[in-house]
Amino acid sequence: MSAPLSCENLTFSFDKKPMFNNINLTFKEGEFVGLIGANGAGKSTLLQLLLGLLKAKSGEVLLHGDSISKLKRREIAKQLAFVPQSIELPYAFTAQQLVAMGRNPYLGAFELEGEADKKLIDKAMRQTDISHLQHRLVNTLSGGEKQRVIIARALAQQSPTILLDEPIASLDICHQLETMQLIQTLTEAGKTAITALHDLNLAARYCDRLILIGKQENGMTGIISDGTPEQVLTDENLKKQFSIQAKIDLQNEKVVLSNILPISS
Amino acid sequence: MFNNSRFIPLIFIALMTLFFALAISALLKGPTEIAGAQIWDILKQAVFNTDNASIIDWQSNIILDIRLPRIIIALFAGASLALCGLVMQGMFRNPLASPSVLGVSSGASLGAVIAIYLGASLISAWAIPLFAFIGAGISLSIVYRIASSRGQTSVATLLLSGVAVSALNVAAVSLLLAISLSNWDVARMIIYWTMGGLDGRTWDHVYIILPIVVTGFIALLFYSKQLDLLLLGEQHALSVGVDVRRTRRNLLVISTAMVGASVSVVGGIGFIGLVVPHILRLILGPSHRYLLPASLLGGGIALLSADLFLTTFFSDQAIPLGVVTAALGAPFFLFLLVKQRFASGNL
Repeated sequence: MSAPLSCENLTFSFDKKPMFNNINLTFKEGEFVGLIGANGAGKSTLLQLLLGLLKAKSGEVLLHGDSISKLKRREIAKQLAFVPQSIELPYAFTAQQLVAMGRNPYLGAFELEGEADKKLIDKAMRQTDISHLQHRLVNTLSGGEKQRVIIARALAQQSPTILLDEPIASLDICHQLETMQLIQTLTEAGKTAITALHDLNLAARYCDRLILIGKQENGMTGIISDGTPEQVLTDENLKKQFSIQAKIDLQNEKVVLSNILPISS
Repeated sequence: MFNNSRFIPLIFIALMTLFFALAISALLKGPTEIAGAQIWDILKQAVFNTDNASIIDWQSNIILDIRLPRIIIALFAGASLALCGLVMQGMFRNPLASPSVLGVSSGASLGAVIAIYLGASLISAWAIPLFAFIGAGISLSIVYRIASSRGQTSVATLLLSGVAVSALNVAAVSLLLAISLSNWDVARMIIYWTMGGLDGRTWDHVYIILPIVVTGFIALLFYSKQLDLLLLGEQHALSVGVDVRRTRRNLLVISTAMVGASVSVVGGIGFIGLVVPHILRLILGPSHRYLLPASLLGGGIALLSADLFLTTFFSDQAIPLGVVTAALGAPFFLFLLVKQRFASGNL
């Protein structure tokens, strides 16, 4: 069985400025991967490349071995769900209507959700703890509730892989932890999750694998480090990529950063 | 699909009733009094080809060749404007978008005037709609390019680019008119055309607008789900399996064709595309499954009732139809603008 998601020799230029060069990544089933890097390092760009939202200059993104460029968007959507950074709705949909949109790749142009679809929609809302919000209009929900509605939409999509772009950036600490736990539960059940994250401590605590993106010595953006949190969150990486210094400890087999200070240059 | 679902059949029954009631009263109404029974006989004869000695030829002409095409054109031009407004509001994710605000109607006007100026309109009845379609298409793609980057549209950019493109189109129409004044035949045709409205419209106009609006509407129905999903933004739509680029392109082509058809037949009639979808959205919610057919009916209702209002109360003065729709629509537009300003804190 080939990997649910991988990319080969991915090269990407932004406005003719080369950005990524020869990125090779393979994501395994059930992995919880954190994408980390400083602001503007290219986390969102990499996610959008994996999703096919941006077109790579060369190289390929593969879903179970099939090139994404040869698949229809509907077929891609069955394999790959995406939770964008923010959602602003100009018009009022209810939470349930929004979650139901996750079933779109499985339905024809005039087809309504069947019993099986409704069950999946209900299940996704239970998993994200938003069942009580189903008839509320999405634009009246709080940031955390909205985020969970979007995650529920991605779950209703029933894709083996889910990409999330800073899903916890706008949440309070409690909802941050709950969201990370939810993603962890999903990956334990076999889903692959790739999440762009800012909080290194949360990334270290929940993710199985971290991928650090940043400027390489040749000026190109690339993968600086890829491995377990212990392998990635090193003194040198923190200094070079995040301009911080921190005390790196291991508590309950998890990396914990403390005494984080900026390095003033 | 859940909030107002019980009332939706009722709303559609009400819209249909209004639609046909207006059509019938427009058939009965006119400067010449013709009895309802007589009209019925005339229609029966036209449909079933029955011979009826009581029918007077000139009355039959008024009903079949003046009032009937006028009604059909009003209903379908209104429908086309409302449908285009609906699609544009969805695509730009902005309730202020509409064919007139975005400069698409004026682009169609410019195209039509070019067709008249070049004499193409004398060669084929389809020249004006074709040029109008091209003009509308160019205007819309310019506004679209400027105003939407990465699926996000700022209200200010959208409106400003619409204003700029409109101003350019209107200036170009004036320029063409000024140049053509030396050739009175052409100038007269341009002036006559720019007056727009429903007067003097014939079955030839029906044959232009009817097939395009009906085909466009059916095509749009296939996109009702995609339109819902596009409301969430490009990234959301893409991630649930919408081919955003292709969908947008097709929607642009369909709505441009419909604006081109309606503008070439009745001229630029503003604000129907803005107001009708907005009111329907308040009643029916955001699902295009209901909004598309409702806009078809609602747009027809709006334009025909504006026309009936004029023919009833101002039959002596030649007030253009666009004046009525603007008088009602422009304050509504300002109201939306203020509301949005308060909601977001800025523009």
